Parts: sequence; C-alpha cells; structure tokens
Amino acid sequence: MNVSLRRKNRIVGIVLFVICLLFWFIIIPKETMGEEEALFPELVTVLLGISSVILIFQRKTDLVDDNSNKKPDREAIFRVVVTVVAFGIYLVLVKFIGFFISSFILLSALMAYFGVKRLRTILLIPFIIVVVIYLIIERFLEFPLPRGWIF
Amino acid sequence: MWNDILSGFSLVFQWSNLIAALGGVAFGMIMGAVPGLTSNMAISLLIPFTFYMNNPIAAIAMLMGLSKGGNFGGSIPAILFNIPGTPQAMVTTFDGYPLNKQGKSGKALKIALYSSVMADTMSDFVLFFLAGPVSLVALKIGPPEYSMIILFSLVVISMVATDEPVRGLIAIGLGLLIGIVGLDPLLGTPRLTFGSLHLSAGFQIVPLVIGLLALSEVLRLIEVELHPGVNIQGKRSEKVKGDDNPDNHRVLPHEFRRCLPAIFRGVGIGSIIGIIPGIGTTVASYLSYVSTKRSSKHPERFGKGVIEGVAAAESGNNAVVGPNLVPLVTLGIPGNEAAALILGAFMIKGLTPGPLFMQNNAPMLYALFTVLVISNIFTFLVGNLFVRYVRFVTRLPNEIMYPMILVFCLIGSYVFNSSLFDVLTMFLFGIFGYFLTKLRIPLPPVIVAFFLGPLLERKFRQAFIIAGNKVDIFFTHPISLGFLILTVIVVIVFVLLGRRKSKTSQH
Repeated sequence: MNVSLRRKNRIVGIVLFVICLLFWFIIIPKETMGEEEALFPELVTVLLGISSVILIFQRKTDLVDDNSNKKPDREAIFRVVVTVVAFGIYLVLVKFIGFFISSFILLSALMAYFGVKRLRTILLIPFIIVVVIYLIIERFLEFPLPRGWIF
Repeated sequence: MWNDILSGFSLVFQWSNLIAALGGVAFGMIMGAVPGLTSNMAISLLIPFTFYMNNPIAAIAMLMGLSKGGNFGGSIPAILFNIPGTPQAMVTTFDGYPLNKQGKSGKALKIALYSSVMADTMSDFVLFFLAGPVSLVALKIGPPEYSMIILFSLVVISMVATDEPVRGLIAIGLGLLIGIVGLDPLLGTPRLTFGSLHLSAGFQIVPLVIGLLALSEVLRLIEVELHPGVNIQGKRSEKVKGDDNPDNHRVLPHEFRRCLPAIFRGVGIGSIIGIIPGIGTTVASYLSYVSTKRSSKHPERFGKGVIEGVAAAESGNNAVVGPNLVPLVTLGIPGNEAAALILGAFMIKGLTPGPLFMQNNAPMLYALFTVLVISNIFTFLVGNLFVRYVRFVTRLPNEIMYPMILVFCLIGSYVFNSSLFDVLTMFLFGIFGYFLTKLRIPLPPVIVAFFLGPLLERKFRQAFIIAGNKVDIFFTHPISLGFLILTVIVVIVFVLLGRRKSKTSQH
C-alpha cells in the first residue's frame, strides 16, 4: 500500500476519532437532555468512531492513490482560497449593498482574476447575467432577492 | 369496472383539463430548473387558486403536471451546472455533468427526458393496476419495518458509493450527525443547536445539497481546470470540441436500447420505494443508479459520463411519482410532500382519499390515472423544447461559467426560505464538501443520510417504545427481520468482494 496514502488515512482517522470523543464526552451531554434524546447521537458517534478506528489501522487497500505523491499545486490552492474569500466577502456585501450590485462586482472581479482580458466582456456579461436574473426571478416569478442600501 | 374507466376518460378529455395539465407541466419545469425553487413550492403557491376552479379534474391535472414537470426540470441544471434543481436530481449530476463536460449536454438532457417520461408512465400503470393489492402490504409496514428498510438503504449506499466501504460508512455517519441538529423528532426539544435559534429548525436540505454538491464542485474545478493566463480562446475551442458533433446532442437508437435495462430497473426500484410512504425519490434514484452500476460490464465508467447512469438516476427518481399516490388514494396517507399538498387540493374539492375512495369515486380515480399519463405526454413535448435551447448555456467559457454558478448557488439557497442563514449554510457546507472530496469521502451518501436520518431515528425510537425498550421487535416482525438479514448479507458480500479485489490487485 502506498505509504503516503496510509499516512493520510491515519491522520483522517485520528482527527475523526478525536471529534467522536469530543462528541461523546462533551457535546452530546451538553446539548441533549436525557438518555432518550442522546441515544441516536451516541449510536452515530459510535458508528463514526468505529469507522475512524478501521481507517487508522487499515493495512491494505485496493486503491492506489495516483495523486498521493504529487505535491499540491500552490497556485491552484491559492486560486481556491481567493475564490472562497471573494465569495465570503460577496455574502457580506449582499446583506449591505444588495444582491444585484454585489453579484455584478463578484462576477466582474472573478472573471478578471480567472483570466478574462477584455474589459467589455468583464463588464457586459455580468451586467447581462444580473439583468436576466432580475427579469426571471423578480419580475416573472415575483420572488424578491436581497436588497441593500442602493438597489 | 370498464364503465368506471370510460367515465373517467370522459371526465378528463376536456380542453380545460388539458390546458391546465400543460400549464402545470411548463410551470413546474421552470420551477424545477431553478435551484431552490421546487415543484412542491409551486404546488403550494397554486393550491389557493384551485379553490376558485370549478372543475376538480382541472385543478388536480394542474398540480400533477407541476409535480411531473418539476421532477424533470430539476435535472436540467444538474446536467448543465452540476447543481441539482431539486434534491432528487442529485444523482443525475453523477454522470449528467461529466457528459456535459464532454460536449454531450444535449444527449444527457434527452436521455434524462426520455427516461423520466418512460419511467413515470410505466409507474403510473403500476398505480393503475396495483393500488388495491399493494395498499394491503403498505398497511403492514410499521416503525420496525420502516427503520430496517432505511437502514438497509443506507448500508447499501455506503457500500457501493466508493471502493472503500469504510469511507462510505464515514459519509453516512457524517450525514446522520448533520441531520441530528435541530429538534428531537419525537420530543420536539432542541438538540445540538448550541443555543442558536437558526439551528433549532436544523439545516435545510436545499442549501446543504447546493453547498455540498455545487459549490464544492466549483471550487474543485477552479483548482484543477482553471489556468488563468491560458488563452481564453483556446480554452473555449477545447470546451466545444464535442459540442460540434450532432450525434452528441441526440440519443442514437442503439444508445437508447442500451439504457432500457437501466430504465426498467429504475421503474421496479422506484415503484417499490414509491409505494412506501416517506422514503422518497432520492433514495430510489440512488438505489437505481447503484443497481445499474453494479450490473454493468464496465462499472468503472460510471461517474465519468455514461448515459446509462443518467437513465438509471432519472428513471428511479420519476418512477416514484405514480406509486407515491398509492398510499394517498387507498389509505389517505400522503407518500411525500407533493402528495400531502395534493391531498389538500383533493379536500378543497370535496374529495376524501382513503379506503372508501375507490368505492365511492371510481370514475374520479381513473380520471386521475389518465391525467397522470397525459401529463407525461406534455412533459415529453415541453421537455423537448427546453432541451433544444437550454444547452447552449454550456458554450460559455469556464472563466465565465464558474463565477456564474457561484451566483446561482446563492440564489438557489436563498430563494428556498428567503434566509441569508441558508446562504451561509450553503457556503460552509461548500467548503466542508471540498475538504471531504479531498479526503475521498463521497458526498452523496452524506446527503442521503442527512435526508433519511431523522426518519430513521423517529421510526427506530417508535419501534423501541412499542416494544417496551426491547430490541427483539426487529427480529419478531418478518419484514423487519428480512431486511435486517439482507443488510448483514450486503455487508458480508461487500467485505468479501473487497478482500478478493485486494488479493487480485496484489497478484
């Protein structure tokens, strides 16, 4: 078995086992009232605990992880992090400046970051998308999307 | 009986009924195609209008059309964007989206449509002929049987979801744990809510599905497929490479014949699942998919874009619709949310489903069956129009498509409940799903377990209460014992199969 894969399995198994212990000793007693309420959460915790132990001590696997020896692509990971942060900021902006303007900003910013070069494309396509969403969701289906201070 | 059937036909074939069914199908398809808006939402929006409709058949026809149109509509964004428009379209994403990425979006959409309509029509005949006898069996299913059926379903799903069953079990466990958050299903007290009012209602299925499936997938694609700096024109021509071949946008006769076993399998599984109230379309869809995958000569191709996968998912999903009405019309028990809403519409019109419904309103019942079949024909016609034009959306380059999908994720999770908390849920589950994918823990079992967990717990605890806190109730009821034995057999078979595979690969 690929050593790197076994190590990964062990780490995942240990982390999961620790989470199960947290649930069993701290979270379930605190967040449930009585044995009846705690029964099913405890059963599920036991299931996860057993699975994590199997994962820790798993010796053989019929899978070979083709990517296990590849170093992670830092640029790709950075791209994901930037997207997640941008999306998080977008969610905050939606609450304050509304869905339509926030969506226009997100679409333009991400398209530019992902490599679209033409300014006309960066501005026009998000505008069209936002208008189409407005017409279909707000006008046709009459479903209000979040509004902010501006629109 | 033949007089009742002919009377039923004469009730249905009026212009008002046909227009109502057609309108219902079209509206349902639009609602199903927008993630977050479900056909159930459409049904609940239109029920008040049925009060003012003098013709009860037209009212029921519109609602049934909505349900059927919505069922297919959910597969459109599932195939084009990997965002299931309805939770039951989740399994369609497994092969539908990869087919789209190969430039075969038209083929995927069409096989989804053909499978949906065929399976739905065949299962309506199941309803037609088996409503009476099957309702007697449905009466025998109580909490112990329910809980064992659900346990069996979850174990099967965990075993077949991945080549490492332990990862499938972890996925099931995580899904069950997420489903525990909220109110205790029997006592109604908050549990694992950490004092949050938002969490007292638990996590909602739509934001969870969108986050786990769509957002996490977009993040994964941004990591592996996007290369900023590569000529956008080059990317675009690569994207439409398969798109120019007309055969990629139609289902060839030999391909359709290949899908027939999957469709029939889906009808069988969906019909059985549909007759039992509460299990739901998602489980039927998943079991149909894994059954077809296991029977295939090339199971390794599933998940990478095989049309049989789409056919199996859609047929399992849609074959539930007709039989789900069996407990409704024969016992007055709605089989799912849509049936519950339709029960409301029945009662508004002065019709009371139940054991006496067949005796007192036989022509109305046969009229209902006929309406179901006609709605399928309309689904086919309207669906063909949708499929012809909607797939052109996929010609957009990834650099434009992925940000667009992010916005759709927000819309889908927001419109479900008009709640920004749901949007936050979607975001967090999207990140969670991304990490699960990295750890090779499959996502669909998480979703199915989340969906079935509360029902499993409720039935399990009810069984315990009935038995006076003794476990033997699961062994003394024959159907319950049968499913328990099947569960054990499945586990043993998969463990043995896994060991044999491991030895073979070592040699």
